[in-house]
Amino acid sequence: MTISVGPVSDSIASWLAGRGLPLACSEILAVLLVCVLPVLGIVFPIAGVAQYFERKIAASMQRRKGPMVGATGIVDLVADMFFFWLPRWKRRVIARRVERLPLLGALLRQVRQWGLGSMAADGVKMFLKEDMVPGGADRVLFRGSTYLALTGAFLAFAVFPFSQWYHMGDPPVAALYLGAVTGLVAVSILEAGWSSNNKWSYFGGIRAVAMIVSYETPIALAIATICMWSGTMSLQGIIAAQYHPGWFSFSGWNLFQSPLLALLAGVYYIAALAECNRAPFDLSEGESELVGGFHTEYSGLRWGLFFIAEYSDMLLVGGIFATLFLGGFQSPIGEQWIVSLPPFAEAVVHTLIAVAKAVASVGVMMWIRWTLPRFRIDQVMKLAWTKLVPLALFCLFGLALTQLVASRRVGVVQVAYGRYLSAPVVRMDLFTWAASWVVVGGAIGFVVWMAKRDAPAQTPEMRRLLGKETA
Amino acid sequence: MSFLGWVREIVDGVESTAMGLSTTARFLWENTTDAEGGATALTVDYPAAPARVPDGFRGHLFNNVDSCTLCKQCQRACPIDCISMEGELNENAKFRISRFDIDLSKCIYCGLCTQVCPTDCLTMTKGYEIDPVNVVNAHGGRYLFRMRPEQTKRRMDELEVERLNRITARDPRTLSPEDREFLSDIEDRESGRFLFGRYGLGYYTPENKALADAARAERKKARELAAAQAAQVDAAAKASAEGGAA
Repeated sequence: MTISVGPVSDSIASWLAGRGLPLACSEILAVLLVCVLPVLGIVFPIAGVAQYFERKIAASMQRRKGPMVGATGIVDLVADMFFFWLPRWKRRVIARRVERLPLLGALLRQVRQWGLGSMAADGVKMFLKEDMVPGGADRVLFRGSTYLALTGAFLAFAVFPFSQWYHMGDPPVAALYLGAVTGLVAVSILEAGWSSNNKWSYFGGIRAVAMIVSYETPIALAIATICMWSGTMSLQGIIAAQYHPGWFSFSGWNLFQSPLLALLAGVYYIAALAECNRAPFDLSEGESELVGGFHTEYSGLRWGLFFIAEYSDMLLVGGIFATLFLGGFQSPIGEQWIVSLPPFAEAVVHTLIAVAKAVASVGVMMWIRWTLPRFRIDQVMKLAWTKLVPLALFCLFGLALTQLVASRRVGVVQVAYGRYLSAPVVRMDLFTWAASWVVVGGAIGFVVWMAKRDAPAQTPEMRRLLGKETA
Repeated sequence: MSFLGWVREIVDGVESTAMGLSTTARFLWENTTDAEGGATALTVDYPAAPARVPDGFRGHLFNNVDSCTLCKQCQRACPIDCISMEGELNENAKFRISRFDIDLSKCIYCGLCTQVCPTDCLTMTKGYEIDPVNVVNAHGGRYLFRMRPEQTKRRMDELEVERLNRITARDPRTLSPEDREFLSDIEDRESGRFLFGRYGLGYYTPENKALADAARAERKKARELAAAQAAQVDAAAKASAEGGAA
């Protein structure tokens, strides 16, 4: 019997077996390590810390200080425990003296300055809160929905390529699998809303489903377009097709290949934002209208699981965006040296780059969240069906045409990237690349110029912003 | 909606979103770089950084005992009797203050005592950091701020003041034996506190002395101006009275 999820797990297993472990045991350990590490070692910590950074970023954008919880309470607690026989004010004096110690005091001051205590406080609060199930709720569904939310987020990481050598699996239909698995979040939200026995939660669940049905369409169109462009549905294949040897490896990334791909990236990002149920699309939470939406009735760690699922979703969406448009785990410069590193070093470097791209995407999502107000449900639907879907279709046909025209000139090649060989793709040379940007970009620019000249601003808000009430 | 209208809607959406994103990005930048208008302009990391107090802030009382004439006007003016004092004859047979107590746990910071002070030696500083209840409890005494006779005799020169400030800013455990001796000279054994210098309550904190001197000079000037104006008015009234009589 051989268990394996790729060469990294194989090498770890053989290393363990060489140290005297039974073969089956070492194989299971290696597979567990490879499969669990991305979730426990990368996604979980980032999701936990993201809450703190979100609060800090939100505060800075609103010209506040944000969390400033220090470690004072902990020092007080320790002083209370060790000097319990003293009167209270003497224990406080001792605690203040401890805070003035040279090294420890400096550390505590920094903790206070940056509000790092809030992370610990939130975590402890979340773990210790009572886990309540409201009366009349469907207990099984109520509890199951939290696990389903996490499942949807974490299942997708099974095909996520962290590096060429380090991934859990790379099925040839990975893109299809992603589309199927990420939809689970909506199911879990509907389940949570339905089982809570609470009309506001139920509204939240319904909204989530309505949104996911609408926004899966542009997402699926965008992923289909990229699959067409790269000629494969394997994520490693999509990344390999974006490889460009030489110093400026970013010039091979899909985002820069054509203005249509840049437009598609925007469409995908907006739709993915909506699929994460993040502001401005967080209608299923909608705390100003629906109390807390689908997680109104959840408390303590169950709420925390929803929260971790949300941030894992954000990371995942950022990682997929990078995979589809930003070359995945590829470095923007000097990729050819990184890919020729030995497998372990390559895995470390590429994983770091992939995580950095995903985290940057999470940062942009936070930026958007604290800039835009929440949409109304009709605005959300309108945006999906009248803007994103037509734009995605336009990009799909435009890129098909681009490929058709470009393949006449440059033909079809297979890109060799490390241990992968991409599917036959159209590699634009300088002329077709420039022509694509000038012709298509010029056409889009011309239409935009025409629209700005002839068509009046369509919404009263925009007319007010532009200072043209008439028109 | 026409096609161009549709395009215009998208363009407007993108433009207004970019507008909003650039605004929040600017806020983020200003806030994290402490530029003007950031949170640091509004919020102070108070325990880590000194808090700002407005002009005319009425903080802890401070008595410049060199100028005090023991007239007890402040004691009479005080509505809650938190001031008490004693005098003594010094070696030149001159009467001067030997004890001046202010119970800060009672003080209501009304400032009446400073208004009646004829020599402007009693002033209100901008200090606010002392927690009178805890400090008084911690030192088992009723008075927070007390000048003792041997301390009213002692004067520190500028060098000593500087040395004191330098020492008290340091960690007490790192002091040399000389420094400890120097501190024990000026320490109030009863309260365990350095009455000079450290908390701005004593006399010889340079900032407090400068502030008190400036306030004193200002009030003196104002009084002289008022006197001159009164003299003018008197003279004018006299002249008009004489003119009327004539």
